[in-house]
Amino acid sequence: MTRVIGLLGALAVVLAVRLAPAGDSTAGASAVMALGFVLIVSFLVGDAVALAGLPAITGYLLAGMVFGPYVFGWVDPVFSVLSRESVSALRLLDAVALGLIALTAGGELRISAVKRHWHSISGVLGGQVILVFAGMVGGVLIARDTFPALNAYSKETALAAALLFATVALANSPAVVLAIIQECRSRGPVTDVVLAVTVVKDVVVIALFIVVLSVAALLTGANGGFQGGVLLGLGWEVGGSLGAGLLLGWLVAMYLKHVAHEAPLLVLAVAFVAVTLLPAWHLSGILACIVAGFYIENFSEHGDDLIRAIERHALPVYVVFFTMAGAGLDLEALATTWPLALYLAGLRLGLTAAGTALGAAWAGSPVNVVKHGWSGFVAQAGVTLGFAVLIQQRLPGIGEEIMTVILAMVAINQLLGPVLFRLGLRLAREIGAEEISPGLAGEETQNR
Amino acid sequence: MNPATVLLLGVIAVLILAGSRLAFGKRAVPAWIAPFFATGAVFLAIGALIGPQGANLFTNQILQSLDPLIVIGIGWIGFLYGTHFEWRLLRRYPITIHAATLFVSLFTFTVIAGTSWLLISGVLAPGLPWREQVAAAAILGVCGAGTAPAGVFQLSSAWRISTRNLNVLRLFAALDDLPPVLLLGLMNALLRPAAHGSPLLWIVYTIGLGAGLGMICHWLFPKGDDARHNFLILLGIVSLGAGAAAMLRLSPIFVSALAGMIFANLSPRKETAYGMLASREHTLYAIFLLMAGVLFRFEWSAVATLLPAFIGVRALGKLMGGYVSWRLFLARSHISPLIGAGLLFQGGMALAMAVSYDHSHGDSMVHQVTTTILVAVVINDLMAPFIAGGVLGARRQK
Repeated sequence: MTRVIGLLGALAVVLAVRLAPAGDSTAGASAVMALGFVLIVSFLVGDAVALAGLPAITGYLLAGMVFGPYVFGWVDPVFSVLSRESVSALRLLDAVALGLIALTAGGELRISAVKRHWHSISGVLGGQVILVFAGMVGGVLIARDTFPALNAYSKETALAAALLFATVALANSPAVVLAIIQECRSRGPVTDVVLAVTVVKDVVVIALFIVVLSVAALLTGANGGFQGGVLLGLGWEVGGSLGAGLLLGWLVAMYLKHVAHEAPLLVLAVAFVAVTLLPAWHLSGILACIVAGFYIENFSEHGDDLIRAIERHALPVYVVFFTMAGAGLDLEALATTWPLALYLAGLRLGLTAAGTALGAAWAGSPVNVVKHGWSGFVAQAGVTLGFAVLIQQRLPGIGEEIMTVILAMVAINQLLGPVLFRLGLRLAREIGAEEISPGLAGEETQNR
Repeated sequence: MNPATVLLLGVIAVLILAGSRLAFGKRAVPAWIAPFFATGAVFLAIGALIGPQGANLFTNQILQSLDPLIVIGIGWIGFLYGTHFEWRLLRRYPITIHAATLFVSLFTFTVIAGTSWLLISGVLAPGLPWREQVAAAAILGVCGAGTAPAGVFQLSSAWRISTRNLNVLRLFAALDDLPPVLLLGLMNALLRPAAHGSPLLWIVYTIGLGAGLGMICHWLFPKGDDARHNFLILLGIVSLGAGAAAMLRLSPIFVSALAGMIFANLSPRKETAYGMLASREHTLYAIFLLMAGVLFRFEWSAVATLLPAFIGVRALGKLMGGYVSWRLFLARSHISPLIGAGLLFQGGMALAMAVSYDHSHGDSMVHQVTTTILVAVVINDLMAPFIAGGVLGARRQK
């Protein structure tokens, strides 16, 4: 009951401030108030949905949707706590969150686990890439006559759209996977395989997307069709990011070894610098962070220090990241394109489940990976949204429509993914101490 | 954001790390410069050096994106300060100590604010609207009225001062920022444009916001021991309070401090919260001061006018206030009548109040006032140990 009163109190504070005649204030003030509200309300909603057996991040997403521009904001802009301006002012945190999640994802990837499950990882990856990609291309082309949006395209354009939908369908959300694994304290083959495949597939999908986008541009006659330089650029992006990640990882490991002071601050700074600096040199900050985390975990003695430093500060980052993701879910796009989006999401879900099961069975994986592994590959978020924006920019004419459908598909997968993955982990009996890890508790109990 | 500026942020992080080793670590630093590190003024100086008036390495976009960090930092400092004021602990001290502390603080405030107002309205900015003149004078008063506890701690480690004097100095330094914080809250509520409505209404808003957030924090603070959940709720409350206060142009420090006070007096889990706040204090404080140093606009003309007046009048106010309060409240306690000489240290709270003023005001006096306070903090921190040691008859520790 006290929590409900607290929640209403926080909402009352925000609404009172919005309605008070106080004149202009800085954008930072509005963003900080929104941040405070997000942290409190999303945490409480996350706790409430956890009681219903759902993952906390579903609660964060729902809170973002409710207090974002489409639900409360639709009633009256005053009620939109997470207005577009506030979301924009909090981008700094979003960048840090992305880098931090990537660092943790790399840090969670242990060589011993990768070696142990190598066959499963390659089997699942291969099964998904082949079946999902081919199935989505076929599924889109077959459904061309059913959906007016696709029917209007010429053969070449429809093929371009099918290739793009297929590539985007392969993408997952490392953030969701990581958040659910940490929330559930899960350990086991499904956890290891899903995490490893998600991380490796990120690299594969980025590479595939760059090639497919060029092919799509060629098919639709857009400017900048396929050029030889694309492959060179791809090589630079992947190779350079790996190198940058190794360098960052080595620097952090050296720091942790020789200084070991203010580690959380260092980790935050590294995540921020990598995600915002490296794209200027056409490198992937996220990939570099994953590699850096992997290096620190596996090639230095301080991997645990890094993970502990991140975990201590990760919850606000996750809350902000997923609430912002919820606020950013394009419900307008979902409302206008839901039949096609629902078809594509359903097709993707079926193909992902089949690809994972076939690949895992072929590789002789444990039965739980065969039966429940697919559940970790449903959620989509950051990378997919990035693809959608690039498609819109590179393919004038059809890019806008494809982006809208992708945004709607992401909305469905983002809401469904965390729930299914948690369910999969539960069925695989890999959920550990779900509530509180004793190792993390008591860290704050310093006396005055 | 261009690569150079992002790279620069990385350099700043390294500077913070290196600075924090000296400022907050246990490594020995020469005594004459120790207060400069102990109070964190070094971060302000680094910020100023790389800011628009130093190396000018930041774009406007970066400066704007730092804005939320400043607001959160102010709120964090205010909330942490407020949690010190637990009635159960405060009532253990004799009423004479509270009265003496209050007297010295208010006396110093009055002397500084009065002198500053005469200077500003008569010489420096006679054409400025009266609200801004009063605001500038009052902010100088509130920033000068308190004492930095870290400075007194440094004094006790570098000089041999009698235990009685030292104990009283510690109590004064722990408590004497309360009147300035209250005055700051009042000032932001009262000195508003008439179009905003009755000042009394804004006082009610200020108190209601602070008290309400303190109660919300009490209701929502987790009952379990998961440090991540505790940190999340505290950060949420601090951000909500400071952001709401800044949006309403109220004082984020006062609102957060009041929330902290209410929480500390209501919650059975205040020790846990205090530990959490204090354990993150160094990192957040370092970031806050650095960003503040970057955002300050130094008005060097103030160094020749307001600064000498501020330092001189403040020292006089502390000495005279200390002497009068000794006569009135502490004459039988065997402490030095010149106890005020040990209260010249300035630090975190003064800087936070100056940053808060700089952040929320846009008049022509702002930069002169904030430059005065910033430079005075550094000078006072460097001079104070020697003045205190000399006047209080202390000897240097070997």
